[in-house]
Order: sequence, then C-alpha cells, then structure tokens
Amino acid sequence: MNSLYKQLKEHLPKNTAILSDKEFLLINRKDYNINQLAPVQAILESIDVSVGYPFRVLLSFIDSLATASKVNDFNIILTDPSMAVAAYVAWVRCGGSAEKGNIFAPKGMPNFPIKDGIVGEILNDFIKKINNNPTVKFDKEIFTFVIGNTKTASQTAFAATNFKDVKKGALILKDFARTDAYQEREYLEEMMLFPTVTFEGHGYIIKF
Amino acid sequence: MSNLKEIEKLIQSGDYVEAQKKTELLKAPKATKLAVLASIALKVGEFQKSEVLFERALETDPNNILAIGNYGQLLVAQKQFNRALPYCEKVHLTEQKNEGYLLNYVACLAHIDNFEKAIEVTKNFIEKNRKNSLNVKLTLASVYRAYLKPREALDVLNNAIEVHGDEPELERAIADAYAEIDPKTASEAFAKAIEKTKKPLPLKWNWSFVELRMQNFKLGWELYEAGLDEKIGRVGRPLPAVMRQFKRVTQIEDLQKGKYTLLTAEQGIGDQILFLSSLNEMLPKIEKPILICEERMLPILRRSFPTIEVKTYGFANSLSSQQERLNGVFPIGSMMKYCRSSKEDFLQKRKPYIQTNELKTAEYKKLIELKYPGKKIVGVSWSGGFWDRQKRAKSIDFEELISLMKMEDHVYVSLQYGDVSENKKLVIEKKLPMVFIDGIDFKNQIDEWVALAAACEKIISVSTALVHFAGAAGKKVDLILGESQSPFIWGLEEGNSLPYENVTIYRQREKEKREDYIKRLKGVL
Repeated sequence: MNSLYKQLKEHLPKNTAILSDKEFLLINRKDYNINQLAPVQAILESIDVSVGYPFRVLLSFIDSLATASKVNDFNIILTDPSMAVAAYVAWVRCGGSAEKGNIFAPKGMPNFPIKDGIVGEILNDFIKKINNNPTVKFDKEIFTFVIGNTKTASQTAFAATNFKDVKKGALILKDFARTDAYQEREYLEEMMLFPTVTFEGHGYIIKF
Repeated sequence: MSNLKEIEKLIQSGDYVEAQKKTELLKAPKATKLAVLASIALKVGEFQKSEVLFERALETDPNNILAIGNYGQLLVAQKQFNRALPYCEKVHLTEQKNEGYLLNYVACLAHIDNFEKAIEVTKNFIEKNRKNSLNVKLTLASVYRAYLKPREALDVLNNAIEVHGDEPELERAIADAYAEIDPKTASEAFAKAIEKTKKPLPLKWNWSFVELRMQNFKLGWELYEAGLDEKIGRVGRPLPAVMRQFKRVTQIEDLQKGKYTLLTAEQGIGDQILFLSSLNEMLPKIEKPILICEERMLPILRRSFPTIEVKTYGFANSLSSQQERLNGVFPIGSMMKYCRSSKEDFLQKRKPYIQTNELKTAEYKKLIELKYPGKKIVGVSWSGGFWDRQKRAKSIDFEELISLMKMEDHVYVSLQYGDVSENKKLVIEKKLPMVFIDGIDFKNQIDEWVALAAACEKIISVSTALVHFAGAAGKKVDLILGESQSPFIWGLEEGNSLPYENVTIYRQREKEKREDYIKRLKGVL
C-alpha cells in the first residue's frame, strides 16, 4: 500500500514513530508530550500542588496559550474557585504583576501556601488582584481568559455570558465532554458558542 | 541541454532553483542525477530530503562516486561519523587528490580514535599533492593535538609558516599547540595573534585557559567571558536552552535593585562546584539571588547554601513571562572574576563549603566497616572527561590503579561513574579488596555519590567532578594527573591544589616514563 508516509517521508520532520495508511499519518516527535507538560510541573511544584494527567493537560494548554499570547494586559475570569490553579498558571505565564493583569472570581477561592522569594511575590500580587465582586465589569478589548468547569449549568452560563462579547481571548471549560454535561453544551450552542473538544474531554474556544 | 559543470557553477553561485531545473534536463545516469539533486537539497539545508535522495542514488548505482562522496559529506556534517566512514574511505581511495574527500575521511578516522591512520592518510596527501593547502596542514596539526602529540603538531605548523607565511589561522593554531607544551610561549603567541585576527572571540576563549593555568587569574577570567558568546558554541560556555530566553548579565554594576537575579549553573558539575566556591562572597553583592541548577544537584546545593533559594532550570523557565521582576541570568562562572582574581584570593578564602548528607555517609561507612573491619577505606575513580580528548587525558588504566593498591590494610570503594562491569569482573577474578556499591546511579544521584565519597578516609582519583565535590567538602584527595591536558584549575605544579586545601596533585613530569610515574605514585599514595 502506498501510504501517506511513503509519499511524504522526505518532507517530514524528525520523528521516533509513525502510524500511517493511505489516508492517515500520525508522527511521534521526540518527547513532544513531555516537553508540552514540563513547564507546568515547575509552577505546580512551586506552590505545592499536585494534579492528575487530564487536568495537567488543560493547564499545559493554558500555559502554552498564555506564553504565546504575549499580551500587555489581560483579564482572567474564573467561574469555579476550584480551578484557581488554572488561573494562577495563566497569571504567571502572562506576566501577571501588581501593574498587569486582572482576576475576577467567585467567593471561596482556596488558600494558596505562604511562600518566600519570587514565588511569594507573584502569589501576593495574584491574591491581591482577585476581585470577588459578583458583578463582573471588565475591559472586553484586552485578552481575556474565561476559565471554568461544567459542573453546573449556572457556571457554564456565567462563563458563556462573559465570553460572548470578548474581542480577544480564550474560553476554557474543564470536562466539557462529560456525558451528563449535555445541558451545558446545548446552552453554549444556543449562544452560538461551539467549543473544540480535546482528547481529554476539555472544551475551548479561542478568539484572536 | 545542460552539463554537470554548468550545474556546479549554479550551485556555487547559490542559484539552486535554476540548478535543479538544469539537473532535471541533464543527460546523465539516473544515480548521478539523483546525487546532484541530493547535493542541491544539502546546500539548501533540506537534510532529510537530501539523505533520501542519496540513498536512492546509491540503490540505483552503489558505485556512483558523486553520490558516495557527497553522502559521506552529509553524514559528517550531521556528525554521524561511524556511518560516514565507509563512504568517506571509499571516495577518498578513488579520488585521492580531492581535498574535501580527504578532510571528511580524516574527520571520521579522528572521531573513532584511529589517529595513526588519520595522520598517515593526511601525510600521504601532503606528500603526493604539491599544491597542498593550509587547511590540510591545520587538520594534520589538529589530529596530532587530539592524539595528545602537541610537539608534532607544532612541527607541522612551523613548517607551514615557511610556505604560507604568518596567516592568522596558523598563528592561532601555533598558540593552541604551545598551550599544551609551554604556556608562557603560548601566552605570548596568543597576545600576538589577537592583534591580527578578525575573529578574536575563539582566540580569547582558548587563551583564557593558558592564563588561568598559569594562575594569571585577572586576565584569565576576563578572557573566559568570551566563552559565553554563541559563536564559540558547544565547546564554550553554552547556557542551557531554557536560560537563553533571559537577558544575560555578567557585571554586578548592571544589576538593578529590587529585581531577582538567576545565578545559573553552567559547564560540567565539577566546574559548577569550583565556581560555587565564590557564591557565599557574592551573595551580599546581589540583592535577590536565585541559584538555578540541574535537578540532580538540588539536595546537595540546598544543604550547602541554605541562605539562597535553589531552583531547577524548569522553575526558571516558568518565569519566562515574569522578566520585569528579573535582572536576568548571571552565569556562575562569571562570579570568579569578582572573588578569585589572584592566587592569594584562592589561598586566603579556601575552606570547605559543600555539606554532605551526614546520615547517608554514616550508613555507608557502617556497611563497609561491617564487611571490612579495621581497614582504611579509600575511594577510587579512574576515568573522567566529557569530550573524547578529555577522556583520553583524564583516565588512568585500571590495571595501573590496581598496582597502586595496598591490599593488606586498605579497602577500596569504587566511586567511578558509568559502566564498570568489566572492572568489577576483574576485581572478582583477582579477589581484590574493592567494593562496588550497587543501586546508586553516580551520575544522577549526586547526593548519594558524594555521601559515599565522604565515607572514605581518603580518595584517589583522576581529574573528575568527584575531586571538586570531595575537595569542596574538605576531604583528603590524591589527584592523579597525566603529563598534559589537565584542567586549568590544577595549574602546572605538583603538591597542594589552589582551590582545595586537602587535594594533593600528582603529575607525570616531562620526560618521565609512565611506568616510572606509577612507581613514584606507589611510593607516595
């Protein structure tokens, strides 16, 4: 069989394994997965947090997006306080500081550890900037992360409402493909929001 | 219609599109056409495509010289010397006047340590071809140096001067060769060569080692900064890739108040320990320092420097978007110019600064003493170096080491990293009083390795990182050096080392035969 690999092999980048037939080609580039996940590891360690693989993949996605966005200013809107770590990753990797970055989150954010040094400084700025006011008023012109869960319809609605008018930003929903989250999916569709679903079941929309 | 010469001209002028078009029209065997297309791909930098085309050309005609020669060149460029060797040999034997083919072949031979053959073919080439180039002579000198024969290298270069005059490249090569024989003359040669060269950085880098070896530390450390330049590449002081995204700072005056400075480990772990001898003196000069190192160094460095945050390269990477809080990266080798600018600095300031894992050390000591009660515990390490050339200069034959052992009242502990299975077999076979501790990966479990070293009353070692760790922990070390090529920090003399009070240097003297040196060592160790 004349696979896609045979036809294209001289144009492909270096790789360690290939899966291919005449219509399909998947190349495994060396340590790709580890390289993607490694930057998040250091951030988690620095705040004494450990998470499982699927959530780590979501954090890694936020990490890549935040690093690549190279924004001057940004907003983070968190719909579920249990996702505070995701907000922190976005904050660190967007260059959040006393002058740069805004965070809106519902009450009930978990306590972060008390740290010295540069991690302590970043954490202090992050915590100081958290705005718990239930009416979220933010600049829709600057890059905005809306990070949420699909645990309840109200959380999803809150995320969708806030993301709808954002000019540039990302809507990130953990466990979006969960079987029993069909109501949440339908709600987003009604608002003409159609997230892409990752292998791990997270949903995201990026606006640039 | 087109011909090969026309295509060659187009390739040389960089018109690869036209060269490719002409190749397709070329009336030549299929293998030749494929080889030309592969060569064009190689020039454009499409290495994978080029490799595939070369392989196709050789499948079509395994004896196509163009394909064999250029494929060999491709593999040499990719540093796949073992794969390149048969191609380079074949094409050299067929086209004995071609300089490019010779140089590729010699590069392969040198890489597999077949220096005698490399010297033989280069000499033959020079003898047979009257129009021999300076490049070939520089290559021959370089092979002699890699073969640890700097005097022969110098002869070649001095002869070349008569033909080629005082070319800057030649002057630099002469200075390099002197560096291994006569540092004083080398220093003068470097000072002279630097005035003429258009590329001072590589020269400064090589010169730095001469000055440091002669203990002219002020000039030496200043020149040593050249190694940070990207043009020097891997043989210089390349910082880990993740650290290159930060601004580099090497002067204290450039550090802004209120910002963090990432003091970054660089070079091998032995050098890192040497550089860290000045850390405690630097700390008051840097407002918010963070020491960045490899993961395997964390436990020992955190214990040894409890007043500074010690973090990994991965952590530093997570700060790449937080540059406003940072001064940038300060390579730890650049601390030395502030704290160790004279011999007196070393002598006055040397004291132990590495804290070993005492619990582990006690555990290891107890284990060994249980098995060998009443014996003096001596750690041994017989092989070191990263580059091939270093490995050749930094090792002692295991049989030589055995001849130094005092079997009756000593027990020896292997502190050697890497594969020691053959040595182990020999120890069992000869029933030698030597212990190999299983279950510790000396390369990655540094803390355990150093704790084991600390369990020994003394250590006998060639120049490896172990000497730095043990020396910095205040352990007694007998350091065995060869005749030349030892790291600059061990200077030129025998006796007490400059950076570590308890490290004693033994060095093979000029004209001293190896067996006499070993005999001498046996008397003193």
